[in-house]
Amino acid sequence: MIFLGYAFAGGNYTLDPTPTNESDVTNVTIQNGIYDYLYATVNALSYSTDKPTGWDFGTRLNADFNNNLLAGNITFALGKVSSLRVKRRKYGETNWSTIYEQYPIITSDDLSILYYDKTARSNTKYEYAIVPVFGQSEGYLFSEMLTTNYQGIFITDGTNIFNTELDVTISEKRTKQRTVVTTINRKYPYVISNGSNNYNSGTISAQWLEYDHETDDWDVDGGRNYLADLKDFLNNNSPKLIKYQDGRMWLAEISSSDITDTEDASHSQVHTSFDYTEIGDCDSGNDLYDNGIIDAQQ
Amino acid sequence: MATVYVKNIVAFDATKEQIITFGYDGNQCTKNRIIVYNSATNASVYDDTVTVQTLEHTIPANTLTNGTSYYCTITAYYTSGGIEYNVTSSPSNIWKCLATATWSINGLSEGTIIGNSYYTFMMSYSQANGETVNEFYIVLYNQSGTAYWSSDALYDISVPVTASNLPNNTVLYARAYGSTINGLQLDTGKISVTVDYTVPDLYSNAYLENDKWHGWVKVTTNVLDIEGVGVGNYSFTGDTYIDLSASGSSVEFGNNFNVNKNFIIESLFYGASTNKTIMTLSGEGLSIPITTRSGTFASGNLFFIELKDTVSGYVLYSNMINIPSLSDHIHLWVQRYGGIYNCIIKNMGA
Repeated sequence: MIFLGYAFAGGNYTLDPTPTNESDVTNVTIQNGIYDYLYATVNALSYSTDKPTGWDFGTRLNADFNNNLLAGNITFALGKVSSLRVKRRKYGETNWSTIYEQYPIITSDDLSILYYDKTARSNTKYEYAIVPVFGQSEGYLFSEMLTTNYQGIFITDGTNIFNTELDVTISEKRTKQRTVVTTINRKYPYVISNGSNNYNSGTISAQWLEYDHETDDWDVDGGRNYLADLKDFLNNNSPKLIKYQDGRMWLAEISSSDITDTEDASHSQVHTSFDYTEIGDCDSGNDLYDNGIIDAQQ
Repeated sequence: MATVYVKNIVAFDATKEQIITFGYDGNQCTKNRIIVYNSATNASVYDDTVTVQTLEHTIPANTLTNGTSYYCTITAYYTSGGIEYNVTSSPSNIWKCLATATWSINGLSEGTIIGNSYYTFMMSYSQANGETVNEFYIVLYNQSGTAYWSSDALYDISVPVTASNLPNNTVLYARAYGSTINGLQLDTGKISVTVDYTVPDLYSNAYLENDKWHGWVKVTTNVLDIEGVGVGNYSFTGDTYIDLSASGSSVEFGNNFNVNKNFIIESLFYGASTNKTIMTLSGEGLSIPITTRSGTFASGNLFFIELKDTVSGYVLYSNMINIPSLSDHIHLWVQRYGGIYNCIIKNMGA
């Protein structure tokens, strides 16, 4: 083939594929030298002679040969680690809450954590850390920060989660029991406010439809089924974590006897409302555990 | 009227001397006589008189026999008005001579480091005459000698006992003591141990992903437990190097190691002579030795790296550098991207 005056691909085997393969490399052996380090990554890094430090998600091997042959990111034998904990705290706060515990650790696969934290409120900066537990001792932790940002309202019992962002209205009131006592010989009454009750309650109303991320559309046709599942979920007698995109969040129970549907402009445009009453501190790991939202005991 | 009685005698090892003590009330005791009887036959097996004023009598080692039960009487002598009198005790309690038991805490010796906030005690016990343990206690003392932790009365040596909440960075003294059913005393003495928590490190951050549509934060980790396997005569030098220059020595990283498709492997090494395979990448259907080479070119003698896929025959050469000395550190950088390899070396100096 003559292309612009050149014999393009004119030689034998010119267009043959490169005779290498992309098989997995599962072993690397070094020998015949004195080695400072050996490092492997799947990240697309540009060439550098700088000694790699630390680990990231692409790191696959990092051997420093500091009097040992460890090349992973765990400085102890697998059998000695009893569990891995996922801890979280609001940025700037002191105390960590354990939100998940991976237990037991038997094989190296058990070291891989995939956990969906449904208990973080929106619009909030959090620190997360993975902590190895060695008997009763917790190891050092390295934290990562993230600011949450959700769309709409979410209701979860720790396992299931329902959400929508259509026509969400939330009424909210703070309750503390008080009694006004009038007496005959006083112009002004007494206000008696005994006890430590101090909780939120209110009503939530929204059009509950499932959002299809692939079609980028609301599933109107399946709306009735989604709504029926939601009602079963709301009536399953388990405490709920309710959170809204603006950062409000309550650990609550559904407190109205009725879950009310109100049709708006069409049969498919249904607003469903119910009452909630706060039953605990949604930021407390103990309260979340006691109410079955998380499985990790504090 | 003087009185004398033999104080309680517990089981003891007949191969060792044993002091029998007695109580006495009367004029100064000037000498005493002990008669030891076999409790099964009532035959006298030892009769000895000593002229001492102390209220004790020593039975020499190997006088009695382990496994046999005995009792004894003590006769105390005194003088009154220049006349010697004596008074004899009632028979003592029956005791059994028993060989000394071996009694220890498994895995715990002087200087043991407890790397945790708890320790599980398991006792080790044996006794030649088949004597069984009656009751024992385990105590941890602090440095002032106060009991920091103590067990309840224990009866079964096969049941492990756990002491919890041990304070970090402290020295404690562990002691297990008790007795057998015939009163043989068991005591490990105080064993000094150090509590120094082994704190594990995990060099992996949590990888976080905000999912605004699901209202959750996805938390994942990249934790890999990889430990190389050394072969042959290898050693660590300067704390941060591994010397694999000895013939036949190597380190293989295989367990839990895996890279696929695109990757970068790099290393810093020295002391590699020419025509030596310094690294081998392998997997199923894959074997790529990486070998040091040198040659004479127009610009002189040069050093380079050969990377060869022995399955397909594909060969790649790195850039060329001047022949390094054996103390020069060579940085090796190997990349596979889209099935194409790239190999770069650089002399980083000694």
